[in-house]
Formats: sequence, C-alpha cells, structure tokens
Amino acid sequence: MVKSVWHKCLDRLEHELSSDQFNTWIRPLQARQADGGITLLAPNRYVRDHVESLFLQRIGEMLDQEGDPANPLDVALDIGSEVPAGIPLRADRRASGVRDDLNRAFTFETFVEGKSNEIARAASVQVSQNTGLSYNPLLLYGGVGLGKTHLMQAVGNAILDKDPESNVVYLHSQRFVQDMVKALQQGTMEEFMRYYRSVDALLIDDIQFFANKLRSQEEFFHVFNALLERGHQMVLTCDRYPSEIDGLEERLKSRFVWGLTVEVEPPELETRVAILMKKAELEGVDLPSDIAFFIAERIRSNVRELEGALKRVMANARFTGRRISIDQVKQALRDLFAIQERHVSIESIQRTIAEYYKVKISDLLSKRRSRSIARPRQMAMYLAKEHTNHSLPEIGDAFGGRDHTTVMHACRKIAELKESSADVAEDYRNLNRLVST
Amino acid sequence: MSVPHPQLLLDFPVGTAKALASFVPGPNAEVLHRLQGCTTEDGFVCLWLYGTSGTGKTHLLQGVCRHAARLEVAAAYLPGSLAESDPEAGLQALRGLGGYGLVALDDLDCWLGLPGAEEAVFEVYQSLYDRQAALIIACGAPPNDVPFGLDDLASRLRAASCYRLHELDDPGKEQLLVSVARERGFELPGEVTQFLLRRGDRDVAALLNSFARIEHAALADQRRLTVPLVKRVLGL
Repeated sequence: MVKSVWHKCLDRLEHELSSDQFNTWIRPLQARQADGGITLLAPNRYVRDHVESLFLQRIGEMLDQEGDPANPLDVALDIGSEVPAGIPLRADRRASGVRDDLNRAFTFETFVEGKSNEIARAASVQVSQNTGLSYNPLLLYGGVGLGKTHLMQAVGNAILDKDPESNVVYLHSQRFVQDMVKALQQGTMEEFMRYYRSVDALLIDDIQFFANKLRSQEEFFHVFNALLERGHQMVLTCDRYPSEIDGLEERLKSRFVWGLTVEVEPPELETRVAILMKKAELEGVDLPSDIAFFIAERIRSNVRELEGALKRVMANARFTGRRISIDQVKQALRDLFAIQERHVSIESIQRTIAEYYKVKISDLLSKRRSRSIARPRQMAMYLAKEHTNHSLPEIGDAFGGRDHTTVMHACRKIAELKESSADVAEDYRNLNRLVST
Repeated sequence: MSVPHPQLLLDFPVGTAKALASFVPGPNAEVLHRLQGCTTEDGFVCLWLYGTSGTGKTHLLQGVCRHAARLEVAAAYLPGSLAESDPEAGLQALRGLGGYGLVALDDLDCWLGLPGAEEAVFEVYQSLYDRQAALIIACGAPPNDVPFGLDDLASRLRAASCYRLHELDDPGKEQLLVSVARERGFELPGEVTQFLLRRGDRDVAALLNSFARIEHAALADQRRLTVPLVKRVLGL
C-alpha cells in the first residue's frame, strides 16, 4: 500500500520537477513502510538534508492526497538502503555464511595460466592445499588488471571447497578501513577486532590503499600478528612491491614479505588469446582462435581491458545478429582501436624510451652505435613492433631510415635479453606499462 | 501578430521525464539497446558513454535510471554539476551509492581531479562490482583519454564497455525536434523544422536551446509555431 502511494507521488513529482532535480534528489529515495507512515531512505546525509529542505513538505502534501484520507501517512527521512530488488545474493554464498564478496566464479579452473603468472598460480595452489603452513602470508603483486584478485579468490574458494565450514573472508582494503571507521564511530572496535582475529583465512586486496591511514595500519598490524601466530592463512595483493609503498609503516612492509612474495606480470600474446577464449567459453560463445588473436594483438595492456573488449564484441553481435568475425570485431571495436592507435605510435614510444633511458630522441634516430644508445633503440623497435601495427620497413624508416633487417635483429636481441638479463626484463616490464597507459 | 498583453510566464520547471523510449537513437541504436537490457544482464555491468555535448548522454543516463526504477531496481543518478558547484557536497553525495542496483554518474570529467573523488568513485565501483550491480558513466572523452590519478580506478574503468555517442544526422535532428515539441504539447510543422535545420544552429544542444526560446515566445504571444515567429525570435 505504502509503496503504491509512493509510486503515485513519484509519477507526479517527475512531472512537477525538472528532470535533473527529479533524478538527482528524488530518484535515489527508497520507500520503507514505517509505523503509521513512510520512511524515505536517502543514500547519504547530503541528499537527505537537501530533500528535507526543498521537497519534504511537498512530498507530505502529495502523500495526503494520494493516500487514504482516513489514515494519513507520516513521512520521515533517514539515511540507509533497502536491499535493492533484482540483485539476489547467490544462494551458495548465503548458505556458507561467508561474506558475500567472495566470487565463486574465480577458481583455479577458470584462471588461464601462462608464463606471466605460472609462479603466482603455483604458489596460490600450494597455499590453498596447505593452508597456513606453506607460505604465510602469500603476497601477490603486479600491475592493475592482471588477475591478482582472481588468484586470491581462487585460494579462498579452494579452501572453502575443502572445508565448507571454514571462515574465509575476502575484502578490499578500503572495506577494512570503512568497517573500522564504522566500528570506531559505533564503539564496537572490540567486536571488530575479535571478528577479524577469528577468521580461518583472510584475503585482503590492494593493500596499497592502507598507505597514509595510520590507525588502519595499526589495527591491521594487530590482526596480522594474531592470525599469523595462530597459523591462519593470509593472502594479500598489492599493485607494487610493498617496500615501494610510500606512507606504509616499515614494520608492515617487512611483515608483508615474511611469507612468499610473487609477481604477476602482464600476459604475453598467447596467454591473452587463451584468456579471451576461456572467457568466451564461459559465456557460451564460440570464439575462433584467429579472432582471439586479432583482438589480443591489439589490446595488450591488461586482462580487464581484454574482457571489456570481448563483452563489447558479444553485445554487438547480439544487437546486430551477426556472427563474430574479424569484420564484426573491427566494427564493434573501431572506436577503441582508433584510440589505441592514436595513443601508441612509434613517436610516442620513442618519447617514452628517450625519457626512460635519459637519451635524446635524435640519438635514437642517429647512426650512433654505442651500447648506451643502441640498446634503447633496440628496445624502442621491439616495443614498436609489439604495440603498433606498422610493418618492419616502416619501423626501420622511423628510426633514421634503417633497414627492416635491423629491426628484425633488434627484436631478436631484446627477446633473448629479456630471458637472460634481469635488468632488461625489468626495463621491458616498466616500459611496456608506460607505453600502454 | 502579437497579442496586446503577452501571457505572463512563470519560471516553473516543467518536468519532461527523460525516458529511453523517447531517445531518438539515430546512429546510437546499439547503446540504446544495451541500456535497455543492462539491468537484466548477468554479472556486473559497467558501461562508459562518451561523446560531445548534445549527443544525449544525460538523456540516456536519466532514461536508464527511470527504466531501472520501473523494474524495481534501485537507481541513483548524480550529475557532474554537483561536483563543480560544491566539491565537498559532491563528495558527500557519492557516499552510500554502492548499495544501489544501478548508479549513473554523469560528466565524470567534473569529478576527476577533486581531492578524494577518485577514491570515492572507486568505492562505489567496488561495491557495485561485489554486488553484481550496474555502473553507467558518461564523460566527454573515452577512458583511455582521461587522466586518472588512481591507477586502480583507471584500469577498472578502462575495461568498461565503451560506447561513443555520435551526433544525429539531419533526419534524426528533425525527429528529435518533433518529439520534443510533442512532449511540450506543440505540433511542429515540417516547414518550421526544415527552416530551423537550414538556418539555425545545427548542433543539438543549440538547436534545443533555440526551440526553448521559440516555445517561450509562442506561449507568451499565444501564437502557433510558424516560420515568421522563428525568424523573429532567432533574429534570422
């Protein structure tokens, strides 16, 4: 009854107010039946105060007109949220009593292994089989969108599969901070700490967000020690090696790397292809390998972007009723490809290389062959081949009119050095990231 | 011919609900289709709409919120103007949106660069992602051209399904004018639309602005929409 009256008011308000006003202030209100009236829930204090001062009186009048005259409805405003309809929690999560953040789809079976992540995967499998014993904590670090969260949750899901009763908690570090702030405000810190100290496995994502949050670091330090003492497993992820995080206490930096610290690297072409095909398979879509190659050759930065592109291709195929083909992919992703082409050019690569190695662009294009110039030039050619669709003669031309065989030699050289020299491998990783973003 | 005593017009906002059904798609039919289905898609949905001013981003965002609300999915819309006019208030307005089924953030450009705003948007994103809800963003540029300060937010939003909104062609603009006029209770004769398209500003935002001025004059003078009226109001 209350909801239907509220819906009538909404219809009237939509016609009385401007579209911006209605959508900004009235649309987010959720009606809840209250004792003898109706409570409108606003998402935050700001919306609540605004509605109260500008619209509440009018809403009250409308409720009187639309409701039962014999039982006038009182209207109140509060901050909060009803559980929105249409977004059911998964039954298996509800039943297990686990926080609903652990995504059951992130398993080792759905994780695509490649050279870039095989060690991280092996370590994660080990941890899930020997919880609290093999590596504690396990810290996975690497750039954004490379699958760290997937691996971490796969550990959690594997632990749950072995023992559905175990108390596995996955959360983002920001959520830890928010929960802690709430506990401080409500005077429930003891409960908060007891909860986290009692879990069997704690998975915390993106610990770099603890930077500069001293109270959170303090509390997390105690949680960390308590869990480690009891042999309860911790898995952490970070976007860089912990010692590189500014604003993080030294004692935490050192503890984070007590167990095993493994890097997840950007996936190489074959892994990107395999990821695309796996994601398509999970969506029940048949993605031929030549098309997967076509997409993976052009989207190189991270797995998230690959996934986003695939979703766009699938949505376009559904909309147009066309089969997925190279032409259809070109059509669906034309804007994305155009942006990427614009972003990564031979010139932009030359600029990035010159800045990184502290050399001049003119040196890269010159005839000079000293090691300090030749190596950056070779790296630039290698990246130009990987990141652009220019032919080898075109790349050679762009480097002071060199022959395409020089480009081939440069690419072979860097490919070898990437395997044999840790320094070159690290330079490549850094440059690859710089060029892609 | 104008009446001796022009009708006094009060400056009440006139609610013209922006619905997906009233969006003139032109070359943007695919994104409209995606938005119509986004509340029933499996899993987390993140869409990024970009395009120049007047391509219908705000209409689509408000329309998808309306569509979601009709399907009983709690929806919230936040305009970038909030961040521009009062950054502190804008940040406060972002709080609590993670609990919704669909959140539409308009003019994301306005939020970026505000201290704490990217972290706040990240929080909203994470909550919606965890709850498999939907986040629809509108911005002037595609995510790869946006200078994010927070890498974690950048990588997530750059993975959104991106749709560029294209400007309407002339038949599309004509259809839009007729539809807007009808919503406001006017019949727009073909010769008037043709005249507006031939002689007036051609981008959609300016065209709609011209129409608002013509409508105002027509109401004040109690006249029908005619070419002479258009000429007089727009000084053509």
